[in-house]
Amino acid sequence: MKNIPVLKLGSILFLTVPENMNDAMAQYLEEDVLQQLHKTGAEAVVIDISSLEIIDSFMARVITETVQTTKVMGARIVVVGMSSVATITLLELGLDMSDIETAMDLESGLHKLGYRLQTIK
Amino acid sequence: MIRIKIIDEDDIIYARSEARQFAEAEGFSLMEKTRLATAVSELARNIYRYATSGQVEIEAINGEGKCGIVCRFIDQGPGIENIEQVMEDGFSSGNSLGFGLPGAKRLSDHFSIKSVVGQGTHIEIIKWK
Amino acid sequence: MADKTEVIFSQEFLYSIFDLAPIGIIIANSQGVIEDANQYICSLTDYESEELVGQKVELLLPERFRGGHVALRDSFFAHPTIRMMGRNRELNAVTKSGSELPIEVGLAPIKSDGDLKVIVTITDVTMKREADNKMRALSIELEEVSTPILEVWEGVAVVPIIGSLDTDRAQKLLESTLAKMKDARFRVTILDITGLTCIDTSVAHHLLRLTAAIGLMGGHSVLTGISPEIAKTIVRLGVDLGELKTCSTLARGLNYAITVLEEC
Repeated sequence: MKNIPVLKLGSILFLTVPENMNDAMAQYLEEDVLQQLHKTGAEAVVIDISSLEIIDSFMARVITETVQTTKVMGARIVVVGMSSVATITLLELGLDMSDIETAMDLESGLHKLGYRLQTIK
Repeated sequence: MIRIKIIDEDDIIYARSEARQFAEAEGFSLMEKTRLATAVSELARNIYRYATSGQVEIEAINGEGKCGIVCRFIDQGPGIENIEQVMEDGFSSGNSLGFGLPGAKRLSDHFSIKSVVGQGTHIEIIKWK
Repeated sequence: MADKTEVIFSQEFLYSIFDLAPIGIIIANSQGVIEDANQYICSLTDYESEELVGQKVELLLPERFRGGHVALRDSFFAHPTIRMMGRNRELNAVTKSGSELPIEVGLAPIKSDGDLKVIVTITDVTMKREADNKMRALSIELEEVSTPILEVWEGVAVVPIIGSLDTDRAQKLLESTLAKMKDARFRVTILDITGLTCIDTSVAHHLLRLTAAIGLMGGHSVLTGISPEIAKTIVRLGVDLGELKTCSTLARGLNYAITVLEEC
């Protein structure tokens, strides 16, 4: 069972949720994030969900729980790449996602976490 | 018409992807395809979680000049004792956020459910184009 | 003045009314066989009367409707009443050369020598169909024009909601706002309701759903154009705006939006 790769950039952890994640992988998702946070002392996490076409209540729960546990561990976290279509279906499913911080793309996500991209001449 | 047995988790993904493809073949919009696939995902997952065995049937239909996709979720699970209760938002059981039935109903154009305790549950949803 | 009941029309005259009427008329029996067809329907469909008599009515329908029509015929004769067809669904007839003709059909049962038959009137509605299609296209255009999503500043969009906001329109607005937001990367969306004619619980629900969706996608929403009247209505309706930022005018909303951008 392949784990989801967690990339580290400075004090930020990045992970991309794969398209067809199942229960088993989902367990590892949260676990991996927390382990990496603990190991590296990273301050912020970016979860990219742009490959998810469909977000059902299971996936929503995985995301929400990962966000909550990350916050409890003292790190900031933002979810990026939510599609407009998935947003609407999530609302129609009646799920409360008000606790999670989202951004439309990676750059806005980093902005929200307080980071800026700078070119070094 | 296809019938997919829900045995392991990958069958949920297969069922929703098939539903999506059926809708795509009928020319549904992206929004409607996603609503259908999400509803199928919710209901198929219920079968996987709560019933020992069950299947999903997906069919394209024509009614009153409209075309639509009908999905039936038939399981031989424990059945639902109080249907009204599970159709209320916020009802939760087991370790999930509830059966996801009210959500699936909102995503569909037609939703019907029949259940007999000890025998199983039969849910039918339709999405019109 | 002669009493109507006294006037007797000759057979010839009565038949002429049928034959020369400015509307297609067919008499068919309960098996769907055409027993007579007037001149108008003949010229409409390019058939001679003799070619139609003895044929099933399905001859005048495009192939794809023929199968279903038999059942419709049977149900008519099971409960024979006057019916107008083609009002809600688009009906077409097919001419001898195979071209299709938009029509509206009327059915009326009639007894003849104890047998039940049907009078079928057929009107060519080509112009009406064209006008209907034009109306539909115009109303789609109107919808798009009436809820434009305007980028007024980099990353800031204004959506002026004018007129009424019914469920259909709200749904379309939701989908198009989110899609555009994603495309153009709007960080703040200003919903201006100055032009909103009525605000009731359902409209409020649609607005709140829209702002929730914008929030879920990581954007900010601002509600502007709130008149004292609307403010009172919102409170009376018991609508909870929660954390939604509101401003009385669009100008103030724009100001707020820019400060939000600067903070990010």
